[in-house]
Amino acid sequence: MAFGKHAQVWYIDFMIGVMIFSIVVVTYFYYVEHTQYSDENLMNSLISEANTISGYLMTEGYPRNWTLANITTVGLTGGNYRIDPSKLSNFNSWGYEERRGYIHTTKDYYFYIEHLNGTVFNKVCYDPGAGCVEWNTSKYLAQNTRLLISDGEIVKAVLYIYQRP
Amino acid sequence: MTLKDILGMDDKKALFFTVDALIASLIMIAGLILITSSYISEQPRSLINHMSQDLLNVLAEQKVHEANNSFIQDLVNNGSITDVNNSILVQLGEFWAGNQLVLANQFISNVSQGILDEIFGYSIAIDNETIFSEATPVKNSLVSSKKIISGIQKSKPVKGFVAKARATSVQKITNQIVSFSPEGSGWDGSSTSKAYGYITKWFNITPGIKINNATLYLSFHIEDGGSDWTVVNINNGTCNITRNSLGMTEEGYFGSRNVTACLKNGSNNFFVTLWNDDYNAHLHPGMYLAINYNTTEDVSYIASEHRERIYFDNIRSVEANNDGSGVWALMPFHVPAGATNVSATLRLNLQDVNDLKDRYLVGWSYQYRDAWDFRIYVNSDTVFYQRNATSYDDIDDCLSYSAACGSNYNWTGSFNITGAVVTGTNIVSVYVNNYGDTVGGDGVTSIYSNPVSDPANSSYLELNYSLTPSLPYSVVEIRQLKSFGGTPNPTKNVNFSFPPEAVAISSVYTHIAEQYSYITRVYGDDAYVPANLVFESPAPRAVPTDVVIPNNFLDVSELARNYIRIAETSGNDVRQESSVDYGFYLPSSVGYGQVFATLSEANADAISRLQSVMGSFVNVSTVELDNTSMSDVPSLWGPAVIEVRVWN
Repeated sequence: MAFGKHAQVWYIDFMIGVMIFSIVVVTYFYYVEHTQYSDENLMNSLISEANTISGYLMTEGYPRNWTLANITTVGLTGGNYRIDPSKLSNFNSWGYEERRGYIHTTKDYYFYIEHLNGTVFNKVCYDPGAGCVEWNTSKYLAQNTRLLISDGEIVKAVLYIYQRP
Repeated sequence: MTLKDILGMDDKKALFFTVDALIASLIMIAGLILITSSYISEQPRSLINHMSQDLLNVLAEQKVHEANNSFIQDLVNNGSITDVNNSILVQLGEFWAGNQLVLANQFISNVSQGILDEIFGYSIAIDNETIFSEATPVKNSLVSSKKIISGIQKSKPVKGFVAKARATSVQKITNQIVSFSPEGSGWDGSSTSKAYGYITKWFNITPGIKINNATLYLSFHIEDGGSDWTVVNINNGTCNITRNSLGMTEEGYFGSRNVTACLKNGSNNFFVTLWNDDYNAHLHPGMYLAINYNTTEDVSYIASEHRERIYFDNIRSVEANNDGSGVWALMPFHVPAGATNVSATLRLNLQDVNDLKDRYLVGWSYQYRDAWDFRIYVNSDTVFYQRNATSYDDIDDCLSYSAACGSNYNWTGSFNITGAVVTGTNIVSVYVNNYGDTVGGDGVTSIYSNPVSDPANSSYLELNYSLTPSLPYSVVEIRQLKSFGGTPNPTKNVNFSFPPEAVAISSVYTHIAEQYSYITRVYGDDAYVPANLVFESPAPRAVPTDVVIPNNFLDVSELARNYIRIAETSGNDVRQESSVDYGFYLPSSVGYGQVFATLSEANADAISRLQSVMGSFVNVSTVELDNTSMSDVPSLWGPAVIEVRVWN
């Protein structure tokens, strides 16, 4: 059955080819996933996210005089580097997930404000179960610090964006 | 030997292919690994970018009083900082502008301490002059952010004074024209029995002005022979101009006299005596008085409502040897372009008008035509009004060959001539008991006027109109006079330009000087040859001394040249003494100027600028100054560029 033998040889070749292709693809993605390059991508992503979110927080938000009833995007200032106490109060009033929704991120975050002497005075991570504990143990952590004025005093707004361990 | 030979698989071609594929796959994987390993990632700079921008912006936003700092409080207490509402950056800029570089260094060092983490170094410079810099070397990245601060500049005061000025009164040199319109007359008579025409003109010279020069231009038709008499008596004999002093060579005369010493402040009068032994004696166009004077006047706004009463001169005609008497006068008046609500009323007080009936003598022909007692023309050679004889049984015309005269009467009345008024120069002509070369009055015929002591009973023209002011602010009007010059010619031109200080034209007149006239045309334009006809005599010899040139035909720009042409159609000459009398407005205020360190400097500058815009025509007499201190005004000085550099 010369005809049947030729067909069998073709079938084996095909199987081997598929297997080799699969090995190459799996090897590639395993490599990519477990190399420094992938870590850097993640870090860059976190840094970019931290920049974007801290940029949001420096603005007036949208609408400019947003309230809990009409907010679209959160911002904590009056557009002049001065923290708007009512906006900050509204921001603090949200739960972790709600706040994450308004700052438009899927990552975890940790945010607080501190005096220049390092005293923290507006830590919003009151919900440890929502990821506020793991931030300083995460391998993938991006931090962004911005300068603002609160009650006439220059303060630092510190934001961490991280991936849970 | 091939791989197939080595493996002894000559008949298994597919298997050899698989081995090749395996080798190729290994090469691909190795290649991918090499490529991904060679990727070089760049460190993100966003954090340092933010630090640089944030540091600059918070220092620009935070006020001095918000910086809770004993060092700053000391600076406030010792007066180094005078405005605690300054932002930190503005205060830094003020120290820098005041060349207090050490203080600026201490200030910014103190204020910015601890803002940035220790991994960052930073410096602050204004206009590339470093005020503060940390010694930390740049190891990785350096980012610069800049901000403009207006109102400060190195070595310039950050606070100062500005002033604006408005003249409330000024001393100025200007000109006034007092015109005599053609009028008369003395009829016939002889050397032994003279028929006179007497004209009295009153005019006012503002009390307090100083007359620099006054020139009387004389233009009349009188007897050039025979015995002498006083032709012009100024101010009741203060000055007299006799016929013989004129040096006349023919009956038509034109000349001028300096009459500066003859005039006085307040009411003045000219008494003119005209006589001709074989014709009628009268004034010709071009007789006017030009007064150049210094005055102090309050600055005012341009009026929008105009009400003007123009009095006739008192004109009397006295017959001689029953030769008859009769008076006539031209009354020019001017309505500017754009005038609205125009109304004009003519009031006449005619005295001793003779009722001529139908015995009106035509020339020397001893032929008579239908008579009238007086006539009025308005801008036309068509009669506007004619007073006919009323007594049909009175047939005498008072001439020497008649038995008796008609009776005389006085007539007073008014005419609304609004419908006949035109824009530009208007002429009202009044003829009483005479017209052309014919005359028929009896005794003394007159157009009565005495604006000084009897204005209500005088003859006058009253003109009213509204005109939107060409400028919305208070101004000073200056009038200049320029003669045509050259030699007499039937057509003469003059050109003139307004000075650079002029902001608008007030009015422009030309004064026609002719020894003999018939039909005269005047043109005005801002180009040569002047093409805009602005006046044409409505009837023979209806030539006024003044003709207005509408402003819209002229250009106030100092670079423009304006032209006026006077053309006499009869071939008679227009004299070189014809002139253009052009008026213009000067601004009377200046706005805020530069900033000065002291109030007195700012005021002096405002006055200087005010004097400059008003030019040499005016000396500012009294000024209203408005000044204010300046600070935190973006336009004060600068701007200066503040640069913050942050590095790690």
